[in-house]
Amino acid sequence: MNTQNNYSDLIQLFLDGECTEVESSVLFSEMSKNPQLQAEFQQAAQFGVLMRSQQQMVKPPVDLSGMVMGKVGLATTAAVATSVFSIGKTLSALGLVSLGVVSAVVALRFIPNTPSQPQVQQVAQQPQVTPPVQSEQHTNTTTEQQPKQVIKYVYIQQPLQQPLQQQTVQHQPVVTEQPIVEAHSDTEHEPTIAEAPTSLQETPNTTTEVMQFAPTMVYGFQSLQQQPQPRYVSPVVAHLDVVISPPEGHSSWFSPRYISLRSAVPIGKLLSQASIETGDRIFSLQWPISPTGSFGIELGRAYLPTYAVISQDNIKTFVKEDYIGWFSLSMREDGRPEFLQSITPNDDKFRWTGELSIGLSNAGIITKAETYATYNIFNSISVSAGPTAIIQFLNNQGNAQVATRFALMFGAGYEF
Amino acid sequence: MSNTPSTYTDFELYMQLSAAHSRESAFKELYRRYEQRVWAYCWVSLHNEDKSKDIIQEAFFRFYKAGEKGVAVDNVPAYLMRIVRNLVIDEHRKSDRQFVDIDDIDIPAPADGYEQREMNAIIETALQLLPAEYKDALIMQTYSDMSYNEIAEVQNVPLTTVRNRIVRAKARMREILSVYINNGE
Repeated sequence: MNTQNNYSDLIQLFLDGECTEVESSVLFSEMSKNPQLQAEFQQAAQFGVLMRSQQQMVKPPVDLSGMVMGKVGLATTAAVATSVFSIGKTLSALGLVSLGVVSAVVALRFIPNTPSQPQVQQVAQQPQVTPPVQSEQHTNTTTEQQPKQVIKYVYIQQPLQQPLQQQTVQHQPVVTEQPIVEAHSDTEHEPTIAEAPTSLQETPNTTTEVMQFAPTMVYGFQSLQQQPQPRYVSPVVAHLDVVISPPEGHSSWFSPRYISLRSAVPIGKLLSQASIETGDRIFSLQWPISPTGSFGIELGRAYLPTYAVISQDNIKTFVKEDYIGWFSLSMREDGRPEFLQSITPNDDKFRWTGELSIGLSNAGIITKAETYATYNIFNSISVSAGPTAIIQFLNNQGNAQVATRFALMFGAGYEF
Repeated sequence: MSNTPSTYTDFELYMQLSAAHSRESAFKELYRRYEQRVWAYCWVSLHNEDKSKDIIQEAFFRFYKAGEKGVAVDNVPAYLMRIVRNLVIDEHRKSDRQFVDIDDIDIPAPADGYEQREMNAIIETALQLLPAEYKDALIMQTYSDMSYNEIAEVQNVPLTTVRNRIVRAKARMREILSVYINNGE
């Protein structure tokens, strides 16, 4: 550092802000006793100002932004328009799903002579008629051979167009045409299919009380467990969830606030449930293993953005997964536990569902927990709410890490 | 936790390019941050608006796709500039551009007082006289406002090399422009 050229270099570095402290002190020490170097410094500074002015002269053309956004396929308008577009896309997708569900429901509704066609309306309109029995046909009305025995709760499956008033209390002898298939009775004896009459009988002493009462299930699951055969006109339950996830953070598995559409369809003695959400796809099958519990398998796919895991240095290591797919085993409890008995009115409008699953995804072990309470508002309409959590254990380059997603689920269900 | 795109680091924004729901906002923010830088580099290197636009579109497209696919990147702006620089080099090769001798360059004769526009033209012409590596580094440092470290990342050379290149380039520029600077003052 003792030649003029080296000092000239230091001047340039200093003006560019790239000098070390040692270099700066060396430079200024030399400049204090070298007028030629001082002049060179001034000239270099003037040149620096001139060059920096060039930077301001080069402005990108106004149409460049639009061209770039167009090239990558993004909207070029303002953020508001972008949001509208996104919402539109979401609604469009949901609309298609809803259309599919509605179509399925409509198709099921118009299937003629469905074996499980509800009979309540016929009973109400033609109480004395005794049509021939079809042994494989089931009914939802209930009869008892014992006089004065009142069956308080009867699960009514009936067409939706039937007014509620027509299925309320009937305090007169009725003609039943079908075996008893389901009853929640307060009597000691609960009829079964085997005990039920197999032919049409007139039961003048029977009192049947058909309550205006919501179905005992929300997801088509509870009744499925209790009945030997599913017997729904169109056993599709739509469930609209709005899940509020925490905003994105370094340690959370963030997901957008999204809406999901669930449907549950009995397949034989199984219940299949598909959940289609913005970002997630889940399909599960469940086998009843107890009056209120079931075992299930689940296939799912969800976002796990790379943003989720950032190492301490904030740059170097991260997990790269666009999506994760998983296969899980689950246990589900669907009923009315003791604690609900004490805090809710003593009716069956309140229900509770809990589900816990563990499985493997392409990113590691994944566990899910979901619990929610459901309240039947009236007839087939219910609302649900509860927390959900997904915990993904990741193997990030040999280091165990965890990504989590917590959400609150709010839903409204309708049993078709 | 209510972060907006402008509060994220380059790396965080780049990470978000791989997530569909955050991709658009992240990309727009990154574009906003680096539009000026890449445009200045392209424009000064090529002196052709149409070609510069094409290159910038292509560069951001490749950058976007890389983020979408999750290509690992340590230094996001350097990565973007490297894409741009490679495209500019390709463009130079396609046009078979030759660096000319100083005697072949038509530089206006010194006169009293220069309009800023004229001075810009003189400086840009003088830039063409520099060796490619020097010119490249000087454009990034002067027009794209990049640090020596960032330039070293983009050019994939040691920091000392960048220091030498820029110092030599500026010395050469001052030598060429000395008469104009003095007259202009």
